[in-house]
Amino acid sequence: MKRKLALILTICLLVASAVAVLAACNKGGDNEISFYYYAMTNDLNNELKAKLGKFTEETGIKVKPVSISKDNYNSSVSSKLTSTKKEIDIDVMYLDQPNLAQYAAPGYITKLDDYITESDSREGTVESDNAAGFAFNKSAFNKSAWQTAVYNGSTYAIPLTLNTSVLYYNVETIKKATGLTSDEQAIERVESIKTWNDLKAFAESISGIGTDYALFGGMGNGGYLGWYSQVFVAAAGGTMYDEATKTVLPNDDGTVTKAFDMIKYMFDKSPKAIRNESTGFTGSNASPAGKILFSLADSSSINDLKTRTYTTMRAIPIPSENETIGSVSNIGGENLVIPARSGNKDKALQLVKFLVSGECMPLFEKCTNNFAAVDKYATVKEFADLEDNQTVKATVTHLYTVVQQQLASAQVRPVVAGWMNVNDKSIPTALVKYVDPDKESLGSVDAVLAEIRQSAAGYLK
Amino acid sequence: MKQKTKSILKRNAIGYGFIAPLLIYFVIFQLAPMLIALIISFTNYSWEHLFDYEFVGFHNYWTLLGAQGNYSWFWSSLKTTFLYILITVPANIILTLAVSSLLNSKIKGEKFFKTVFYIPSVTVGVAIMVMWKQLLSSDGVINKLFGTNIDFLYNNNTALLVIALMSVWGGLGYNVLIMLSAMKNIDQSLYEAAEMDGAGAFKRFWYVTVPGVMPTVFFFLVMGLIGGFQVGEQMLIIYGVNDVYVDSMHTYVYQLYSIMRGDSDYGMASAMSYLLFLIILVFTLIQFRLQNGRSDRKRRVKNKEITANEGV
Amino acid sequence: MKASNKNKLRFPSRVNAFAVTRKTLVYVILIALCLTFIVPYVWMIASSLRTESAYLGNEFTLLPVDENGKLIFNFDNYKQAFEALNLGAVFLNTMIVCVVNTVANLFLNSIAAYAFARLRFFGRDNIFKVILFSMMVPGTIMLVPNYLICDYLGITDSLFALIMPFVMSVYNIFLLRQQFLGVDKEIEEAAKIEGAGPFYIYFRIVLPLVKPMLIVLCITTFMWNYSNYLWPYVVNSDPSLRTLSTSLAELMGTNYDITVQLAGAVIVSFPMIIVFFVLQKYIIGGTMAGAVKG
Repeated sequence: MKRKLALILTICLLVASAVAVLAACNKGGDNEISFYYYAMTNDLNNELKAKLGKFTEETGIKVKPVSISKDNYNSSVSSKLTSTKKEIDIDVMYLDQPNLAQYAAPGYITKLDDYITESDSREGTVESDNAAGFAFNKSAFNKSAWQTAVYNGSTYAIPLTLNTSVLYYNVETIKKATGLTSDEQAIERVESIKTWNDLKAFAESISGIGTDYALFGGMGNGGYLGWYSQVFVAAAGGTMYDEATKTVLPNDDGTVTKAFDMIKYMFDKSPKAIRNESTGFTGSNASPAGKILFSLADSSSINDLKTRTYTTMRAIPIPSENETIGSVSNIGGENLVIPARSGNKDKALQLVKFLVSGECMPLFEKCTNNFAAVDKYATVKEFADLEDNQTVKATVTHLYTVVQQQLASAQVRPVVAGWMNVNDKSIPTALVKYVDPDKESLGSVDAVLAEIRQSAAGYLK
Repeated sequence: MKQKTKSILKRNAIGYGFIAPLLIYFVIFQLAPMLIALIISFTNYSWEHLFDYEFVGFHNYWTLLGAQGNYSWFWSSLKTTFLYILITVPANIILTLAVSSLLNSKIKGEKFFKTVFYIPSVTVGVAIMVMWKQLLSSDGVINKLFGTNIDFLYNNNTALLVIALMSVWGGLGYNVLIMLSAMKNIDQSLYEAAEMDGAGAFKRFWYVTVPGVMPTVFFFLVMGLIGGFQVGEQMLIIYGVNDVYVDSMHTYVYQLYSIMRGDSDYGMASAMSYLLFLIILVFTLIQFRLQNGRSDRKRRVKNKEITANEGV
Repeated sequence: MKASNKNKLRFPSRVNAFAVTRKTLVYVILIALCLTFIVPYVWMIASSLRTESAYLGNEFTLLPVDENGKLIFNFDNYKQAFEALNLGAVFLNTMIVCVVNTVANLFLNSIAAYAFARLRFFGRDNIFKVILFSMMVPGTIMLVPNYLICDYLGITDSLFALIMPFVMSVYNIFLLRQQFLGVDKEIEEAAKIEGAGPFYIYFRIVLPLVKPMLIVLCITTFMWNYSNYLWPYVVNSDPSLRTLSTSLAELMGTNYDITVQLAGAVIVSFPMIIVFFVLQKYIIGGTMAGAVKG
């Protein structure tokens, strides 16, 4: 009996070890390349797999799709990239735009300069005039999106999707706050806001502003604040980073002062109890609560509206400091890169070419809720799934249209290694001390800038 | 003579044969990693310097201890950790004492209650987090019950508190089990004597039960300290690495994970590990010292028995 | 109060009234506390069976009901969770890791513990002390060092990385050695005189005597490996190598319906909860064994 037990245990051990060995060795054939992307719903995943199957049929290259949730994506991929293995099994991957410099600087991703061309035509994404058989046509891509792929004068990525922020509002809340009775009047009133002074005038016209109503919600005090601060700096005509002098937020012309003061004004008019401190604009906590007048957010929030059916949401382009500057906003999105230690770069390039084609672009727009980085595919969608709910469809279509309009003026974040940290940590930590009435400890913009620059110096090596 | 040498050799060979797997394991997965990490903690081995890292002396340690530049969170993360300990340890001890003495008052269904309280201890940690994340969300059950609208986990005022309470909730079953067995070991005649003296329920609890379970309370205290310093996994599961929104829950170990997995700065992460090791070592040694003092006599007797057994 | 206690035997009726109210109070408190443990689980199961729209719309309920208050069992959540977790592969991974680690742990730990308890060889006690010292290094601190060694050995992104650092446990050796020390020596002596070898004695005579402890260690090792999250998360980034815990954490980060995420949590956690109800005796015994060290 006991001998039998021992025998069974030993066999279990052997079998399990054998399976473990097999599982460890079974890492796919040489002909297979792997594509890393953000996890999405089953339906979209199956759609992508079908597309990749088509690619395999056309080229004979097998693709292993590997999806990782957006939250864990960067840490998972970076753990692969920082293993000391000679070859890593990522061949093509999504890369969040602002991370590009960080990956490019130590040489973890492949330089693609040899595969880029600039044609007069903005039609085709790919031109066939290169030793490798093809080159990507820079002119076909959104200009801002393309800038996010360039580090130190070299192109390291092919833009896939992009996104930008606009100012959302709820017509019902506006009506309640202003006392206007019809939707049309309220919409007209808000759409007349073009400059910061317009916005301030609008705010002052509301009696309960700063107590019963918050002027805005969804800026938080972390990375979003860093990201959105760019909106204001750009809208005042300034820049985030001067490459030549390596200065963060150059303020010689006072643009940063103007921007920060505007942010301060918005904080002052937005009681903490009302604006939600941590989360951005989502269907559950934005204006429908009836107290937040505006919410800064990108188009990924629109998707929430589909299920929550808030049909009175609308958006306007972001107002600027003065009319000559015109509405400007920030940019976000994903690029496609090929890791330097990929074992199949040629095949990976073929896949990138396929992914940015008209075949796949609409799918990626759906997956990411962003717009295609290739201009001609970046259209407001049909929303066939909303056919039986025309009000929601109209709302969603309107919102996407505003975002698309804003895309033309999207400002690129500085492409320098470590900017992500400046954006997420340096800027918000210091800025909050100036703009947030609850945390006020820095009295002047100069003090804020000094603190930001000191902290940034540690990140921008 | 030769025969004897041979038998000694054989005895040693057998002995080492038995512990050979342990020795190999110990060298590869305990000793070598600690040494490598110690060496790495003096280098800038990181994302940017994966293949060209160099020695930087005590730079990593000084940067951390001086809370320089981007590591300005160093002391505040320790503060957060202490705060977590300050919430969990007393809450744990008080709640455990209360529940255990209730269970110890000769009630029916003691086993049932023990089992129920123990369920979280056998639930996969991530599943507990999934559950509580939804229960605590701004439109979740807790808010509906109280008619509030607080995003508990994403609000800087509440995040650490709810995580701490979650871990108290999760650990209660285990703690009660241990406390209860300690209570049952208390000499019943002490209670009877107290009762004779006219001590009420509370007095009996205070003068008999509490001193009787003091070693266990002490055990909870030390374990709570040692475990509290290592808190970070819950935060990692809920917020992922490098969270920037809810900085009130950035404990030391959470920052360690962020440095390691988020920033891939292995030199710094190794240095952080060693600093934490030193902190925990201090507490472990205090525990050993106090424990030895407490049970010195008991142990001496026990050791004698052991040596007597082994001495053959 | 004084009087009531003193006169316990003489005036049972008065005492009873007091004792009954006190007992009732104790029960009320305990049951209330109990509810905070049971309700979340019941809620989780109920919610995992509802549709997303019903979940979002309805007030608090412990029944799987739809918008109109009718019972529904929406197993589609489980189907989706099954796919999202990639349950087939993930379950296989987890089982391989759990089984190999448990079997290896039982065998390797017990032979080492036996050697430290019974065999005599040069430097035995000093080696044991050194190894015991490593118990003072908590797992959290070993995380970075273990990652570095696994990267150095080139076993990151494989199941080996989940197995090799955990094939043995110093703590379990410590527990087993205590057990072996408690075994009566005479049986072994008798076997030795009959010419039995040390392995025979260990395997056929001593090991069966500590079977209860082995069962406890078997369960605790299995459960620990089953729910371990941190190490698999740190060392394996390849999605095909995920375990149940890391896969569930991954599902938590996606924008799948909340009901699907809860279904995933049920799938992952309930096997162990059921095991707990079946093997309660040993698991609770294991807890006590673990605490004795304090």
